[in-house]
Parts: sequence; structure tokens; C-alpha cells
Amino acid sequence: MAKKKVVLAEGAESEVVIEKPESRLKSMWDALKKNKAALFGMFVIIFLIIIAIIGPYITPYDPYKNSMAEANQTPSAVHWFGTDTLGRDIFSRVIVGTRISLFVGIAAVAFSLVLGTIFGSIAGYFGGKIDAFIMRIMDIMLSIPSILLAVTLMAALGKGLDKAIIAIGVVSIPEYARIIRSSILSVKENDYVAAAKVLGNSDGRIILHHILPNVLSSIVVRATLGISTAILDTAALGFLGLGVQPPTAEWGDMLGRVRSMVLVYPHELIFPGLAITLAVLAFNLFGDGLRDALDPKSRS
Amino acid sequence: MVKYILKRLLMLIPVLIGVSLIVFVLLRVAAPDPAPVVLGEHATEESMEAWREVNGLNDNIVKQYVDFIVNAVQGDFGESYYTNTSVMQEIGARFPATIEIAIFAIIVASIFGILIGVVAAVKKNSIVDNASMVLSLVGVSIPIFWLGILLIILFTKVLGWLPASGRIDVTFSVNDITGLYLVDTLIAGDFAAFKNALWHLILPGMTLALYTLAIISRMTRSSMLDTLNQDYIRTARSKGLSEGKVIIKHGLRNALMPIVTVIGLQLGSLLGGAVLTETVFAWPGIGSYTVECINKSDFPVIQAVVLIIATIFVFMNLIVDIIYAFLDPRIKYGRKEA
Amino acid sequence: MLLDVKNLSTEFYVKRGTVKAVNDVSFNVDKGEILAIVGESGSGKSVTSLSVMGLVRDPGKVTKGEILFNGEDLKTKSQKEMRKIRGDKISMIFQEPMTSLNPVQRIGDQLCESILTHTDMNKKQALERAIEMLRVVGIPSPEQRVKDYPHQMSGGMRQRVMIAMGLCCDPELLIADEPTTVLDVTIQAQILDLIKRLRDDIGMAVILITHDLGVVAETADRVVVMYCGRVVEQADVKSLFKKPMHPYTKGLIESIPRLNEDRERLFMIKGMVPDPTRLPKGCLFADRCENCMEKCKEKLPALTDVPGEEWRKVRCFLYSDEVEVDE
Repeated sequence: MAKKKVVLAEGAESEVVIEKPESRLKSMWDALKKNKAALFGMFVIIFLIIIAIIGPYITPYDPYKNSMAEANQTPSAVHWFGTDTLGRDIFSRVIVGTRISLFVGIAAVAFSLVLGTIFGSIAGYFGGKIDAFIMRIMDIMLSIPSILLAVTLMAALGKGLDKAIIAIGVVSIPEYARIIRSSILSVKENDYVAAAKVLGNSDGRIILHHILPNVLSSIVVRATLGISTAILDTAALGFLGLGVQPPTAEWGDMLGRVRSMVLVYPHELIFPGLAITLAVLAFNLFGDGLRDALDPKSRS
Repeated sequence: MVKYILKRLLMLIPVLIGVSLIVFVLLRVAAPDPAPVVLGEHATEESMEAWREVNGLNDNIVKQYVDFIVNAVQGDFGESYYTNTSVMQEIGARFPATIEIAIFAIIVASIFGILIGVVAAVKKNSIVDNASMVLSLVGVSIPIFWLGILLIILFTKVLGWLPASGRIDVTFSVNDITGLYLVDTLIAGDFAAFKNALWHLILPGMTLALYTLAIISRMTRSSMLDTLNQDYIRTARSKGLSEGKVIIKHGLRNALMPIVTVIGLQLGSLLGGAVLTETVFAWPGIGSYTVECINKSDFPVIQAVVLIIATIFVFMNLIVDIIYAFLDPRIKYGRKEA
Repeated sequence: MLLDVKNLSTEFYVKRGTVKAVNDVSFNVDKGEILAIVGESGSGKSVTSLSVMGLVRDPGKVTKGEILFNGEDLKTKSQKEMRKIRGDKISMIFQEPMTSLNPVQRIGDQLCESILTHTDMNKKQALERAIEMLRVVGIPSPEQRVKDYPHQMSGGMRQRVMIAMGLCCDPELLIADEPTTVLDVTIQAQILDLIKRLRDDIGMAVILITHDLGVVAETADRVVVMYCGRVVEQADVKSLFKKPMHPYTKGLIESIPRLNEDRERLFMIKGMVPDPTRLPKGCLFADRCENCMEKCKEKLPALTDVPGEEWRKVRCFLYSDEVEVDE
């Protein structure tokens, strides 16, 4: 699965040619511009990022202010998405929740990306016993369903945003490690890496300056799709009551708290879920578009 | 082949030891002391100390792990901190419910996923194809618990067709034989109970199935598109075979390998998804039980659940590899490696 | 006349435009005759054969002409009627023996599938017939080989299996699309001999599609040369090799490797086949032609009879000034 083909300098027969990663990102962008679904995803992402930044300043109501007199109202001109069991404005809470979901999603991906890159690089570059050891650990992690592993991690770490980031990040490490490892294996034997070695570069420098830039584009794709998974996982932990601490407005947590009320106040369960779906969909569309742009052959 | 299977079985041992280590380190070393949670905030230091002593939490950590492993191999995962019944019994009582919903979901997802994928590939760029693409995109983007909630709102609240929680109405009594209500009610010949159990199963089953269905239909489509462009498909047509035979016997039969892989791999995420689905539908399986136990730090149960599910998962992978050899005559395990 | 193709046109509708893969092509084949259709890849020779079989698929379509088989127009037949003819009266073997057999089905089952589709035989009889056909095409110990999967056989053996599959319902016409291209020279000769022998033994007609005039010289009775979807020359095999007329035919003959000639290097026709969505006006070969004249770039020559030679035609201003009447 992880055998993503890495586009390398072709036609490099005698001289060593290294294609600049920037130029590849540019050609990705050119292909992306033609993909309407991906562009839609991108605009939604930009929109969500703006909301995440300015959200807390534009909410019509204080998302944390209880008002029992206004509890459980259905959507109206006053409260667009209605109010929850504590009388808090759901629209305001959904707006504020954008920042949390995006932050946890991106931070978790960054976490697993960094650790996955380190493990995958070491495994792929050095090979042998280190490789076997690291990849065996990754296999072990992959044999536990990710949500179950995340839940167990939360049990060990306790609740909280920072812990959710770690739990969600950890479960994706094997995926990135595998991609990086196989990319490195395919790049390692290339002439220019050999050349860099002959010139006396250190291993760390070779990995950082010569190998990683060449697998950058496939990582970008993977990470984009990874954010959508991370947002889903964040919401799932929140829904199970294992994510953030109350009263933090987190989309999954908002659903989890009123889930027993589904037959009584269904409106309280519609909008936070819609927000999650929209965010996940956007990153999926954009990620798929990036993948197609990177590797036209994968388009079907 | 037998040699290959034995070899693979041996290779599972270190993986499962690894899983047990991870779980043990997380729950016994890293996790906070469960005593105050289990005994309540007002428990005295002495009573907590006594409780830890009884549950072996004061032993040397290495001894704790060795005890855990030695017992686990014999199928003994200790007792629940709360009910003082054996963990295996607790899990055993709930496991059939999870198996029932998981089997239902994998069957629904496989049948409809393959069907949709095949039609989409054969009628590429048609309405069916585009609809299947939208479906698979939505299927992987929608949170499984929110999907469950939406289905409840639609089918229970608005339409009033299907029940939203539980496995069967209390008015029915089911003789536990297999623990699978659909099977047990049929054995008993109680069709009213069977229908009631099936009605309860539909919403959670569909909820659990959608993600897997999306993945399977996507995979089937791309695998079929690949296969339908092969030369032997043209050969089959030139023989004068009917289009249906060409597509099923020569197309799908050859496209099946990656589809089987995906189905096998999905079983893991299906069991993970059960944690969420069961919570939404108050389905009395191990998924909702696990969440409950995490909230009250009932660690022996969680250890057992993770180990059991990981075991199922790695066995499924092995079974997929074995099915491969039957699907593709070019694969001969063991011989190739020799 | 067994097969009479008249003014056949097949078009493909792709994003960049319409490709006239086969453009106003006519030819015929008689019982017991081997007709070769020759051209480079992209000349439309394979699409011609697929059109006859009714196997042109989206985005392609047979747009014009008649395909008379035993006097009946195959173009007017329904898919169901065509299926009865395919594999029974007309069968086809393909270029790639390595990939043209279903990898997950036993050889015997693949042969039996054809037989069971087109005859009333039961499974046992079909298997006997399959074994017999494998013996006819020269596969040793066929009783064992029917249980083999394709990957257990060599390329030459697989092509023999393909031929056996094509022959198992005693077809009146066999279309062989580059049957020997990917095989090595020895096997190639054996397969061609086999096709000729079967023609002699059961009087079947053969359309041999190839890019290799060497193969044509050894096997065919008559030759049609195609370029960019159009027939540029047709002749019986002897006159064609004795006196090739169209510069393209000359080029093709020049580029046959000969063992007994001491040439510095193999002759290659200069230039490239034009983009099929943007065919030049005038003669399609003009850009690559050694004898190109001014008018060649303006007008397309018609396919005209060569005086004094039966059936022979050529499309070139060197021999006639007649211009193709464009549709």
C-alpha cells in the first residue's frame, strides 16, 4: 500500500540532476487548479482557517455562558442553530469549536509526522536490524484498531486537549513511518545519494538535505488526508467523553453530551456533526486532489 | 501451505507479546492509580492500600507483567475491579453482540460495496458511477457516530420505523445458544423475535457498515477498471460470451484479490468502529463496555479487550493471505520462498 | 465471398477530437485464403479487425460501411446475434499471448468455455474436444496440460493455446492480430506454419494483421497496406514484393531485415506517424515521403486501379492524378 511512486529526476544518466522540490509543488498546483472538487475543498479549508482565527471575536453570544431560561431552544432568528441543554448558543459553540478541531487535527498530524519521519528515516536509511526492530513495533501498533488504541492512550494519559493530540498522533505514526521508509528505500539507491555519500556528507545531512526533499510531495498528500482522519478521531474521542474537559466547545464533545437526547432535541445533534463532516470532507477532497495532481496515474 | 501457516502462526507470537507490552505499560505503568476511582473519592488510604494489595498492584512491576502474561495465555485476564466476576465472563457475555453487528456490517458492506463498485466500473462516468463516487466520499468523511444519530433521527423519530437502541424488545426472551440473536431466535423457531432482533440490528449495522462499504466500493471500482482493460477480457468477449459472464467470471474473479485484502483489513477498523456505534445505539457489546470501563478505570477489562481484538485482527490478516492462495493460482506460499 | 468489407469507417471520440481510426476501407477474403493487413501501429489495422468482430467499444463506433459475412451484414446484427458468431464462425487471436489468457482459470476450462458456449456438447465431450484441439496445435501431452494455468506455460505454448481456443468451434474465418510479434523467431515460424497448415487442412480463411512484411511474404496470399486508417495499396503478395508501388510500401519492404544482405544499418522510414486527431490535408504520407510533390500536400490521392494487374490498387499521385472525393 505504501508503495507510492516518487517522481525523481528522470533521464539522469551520467550527470547528477536533482529536481527542485519547489518546481514539483508548482506543477502540482497547476494540475490542482483544474480539479473543481479539490478547489472546493481548498476554499472550505481556507474558510475554516479564517473562522478558526477570528471565530472567538465574531460569535453572536458567549459560547460559555449558561442561561437555563433559554435551554434547548430550536433554531430561530435569535439562535440560528438553537441552544443546548445549558442554554448556550449552539452557533457560537460551533464557531468556537472550529479552532479546537483544526488545531488538534493539525497538531496531531504534525506530531505523528515528526515521529513517523524520524522512525521511518532511521529504518529505511540504516536498514538491517534497526529497520526490522522499528518496523516490527509499527506492525504491533497497527494490529490494534486505531480508535481502540487512542481510547486506551486516553485512559492512560487522562483527559485534555494536549493528551488528545498525543493519543491521536501516536496512532498514525506507523503510517507515516512506512511511507517515509519505503520512499527512502527507493531513493536511497539513486545516483545523487551515492554522490553525496562519496562527497563525505554525514548520514543525517544526507537524509535531511537529499532524501527528505524528494519525498516531500508524497508526505504533503498523506498529511492532508491525515488531518481529516485526525479531525474525525478528535471528534470520536470527544463524543466518547474522553477528549476535552468541559466546558470546552468541541464538536464531538457537543454531540456526546446530548446524545441521549437525540429523540427529544435532535437539532442539538445536527449542526456540530455537520461541521465535523464539512471539515473532514474538505481535507479529503483537497488531499485526493493533491494526490491526483502529484501522480496522475492514480486518477481513475 | 501447512508449513507456511505454521510459520505465520509462530510469527504472531512476538506481535501479540508486543501488544500485551504496550497495553500493560499504558495501563499499569503510565495510567494514574485506579484505586481512588474504583473505591470512590471518600475511600481511606488504608482501604485503598488493601485494595491494591488484593489486586496485585503492589507487586514488582516485572512480576505483575509476568503474572498477566502467564494468566492471559491460559485465558485468565483477572477480575473486573467492580463486579469481581472474571473478565472473560464479562467479555464473553457481551462478545456475541459485537460479533453479530460486525458480521452483519461486513456482509452488508461487502455485498453492496462490490455490487456498487462493479456497476460503477462497468458504467464508468454514468450516473451510477458518479453517485458511487459521492457515496464513497461521504462514507469516509462522515463521523460514524453522527451517521448513527442521523439515522436515528430519520428512522426512529421522524418515520418511526426502526428502534434506536438495544438488541431486542424486553417482551421477547432469547435462549442463549450462540449468543447471536438472529441465529438463536431462528433455532428456537420464534420468528416474531427474529424479526424484532433484525429490526434492532438494521440501524447500528448500517451505521457500522457505511465506512467499510465506501472503502470496498472504491477499491472494487478501481480494481475492476483495471481488470476490464486487460487483454483476457477482450479474449473472453471474442469467444462470444455474454457480457455478464465476461464481467463476473473473467472480470470480477480477477479483480477480487485487492478487494479481499481490503475486506480483511477493514475488519480491524470495523471492530474499532463498534466502539462508537455501540455507544450511539446502546448496543450491549464489548465496544460500549470498553468505553464504560475506561471511564471508570476498570483496567483488567481494557487489557483483555485490546489483546483479544488485536488477536482477531492478526488472525484475519493470516486468513486473507490464505484466501489469496485459493484465489490466485500464481501464488504458492512456502514454495516460492524455498 | 466469405467476408466482404465495403467502405468501412470506424471513429473514436476522444477529448481532443475525433479519430478516424478506419476510414473508408474495403477488402474481402475468400474461403481458404490468407489476407494480410499490414501497417505500423496506429494504421487502423487492429481496429479494422475489432470492427469485423463487433468488438469496438466506447468511445469508438463503426460509423459507415457494410461488413458482409456469408452475404449477411454483421453491422445490422444485435449484440446477441453477434455473440453467436463470435468464437464460433469468426474467431480471433491476439498479439499478447502472455496476457490474453485469464490467469486464474485453467487452460482446459478456458477452451471448454468456448465449446460449451457454442455447441451442445456436455462438459466431458467439451474437455475431449479441448484436448484434441491442443493436440492439433502441437501441444505435447495435452491431457496433462489442460489442468495447467497460463503462468505455467511458455509464450509460444500460450499462443498455441490461443489458436486452439480460436479453432475449437471450427470457425470459417480466423482473425490473427499480430499473432507472432512477441514471440522469438523460431517459435514465430512454427506458429505461422501452424496457421498455414490449418488453412490447408480445414479450408478456413485467415485475416493476418501484422506490421511485419517478412511475416506477410511467408504466409499471405493477398495484402492490404494501411496507413493512418486508409488503404494505400493492395496487391497479391508476389506482385507486391516484386514491384511495390506506394512509397510507404517501399519503405516497409526496405525495412525488413535481411540476413543475406550486407547493409550498414536498417532502413527506417523517416519522420513520424501524424497525430490522428490532426491529420494533415493532402496525402497522409506526404511528410515522410521521398517522392513528395507540391500537390501531395494539397490533395488526397484516390485509391485507383493499377492497369493490367487484377485487384491491385494504389493511392498515390505518382501513378494517377485522381483525387479522393471527400465526404
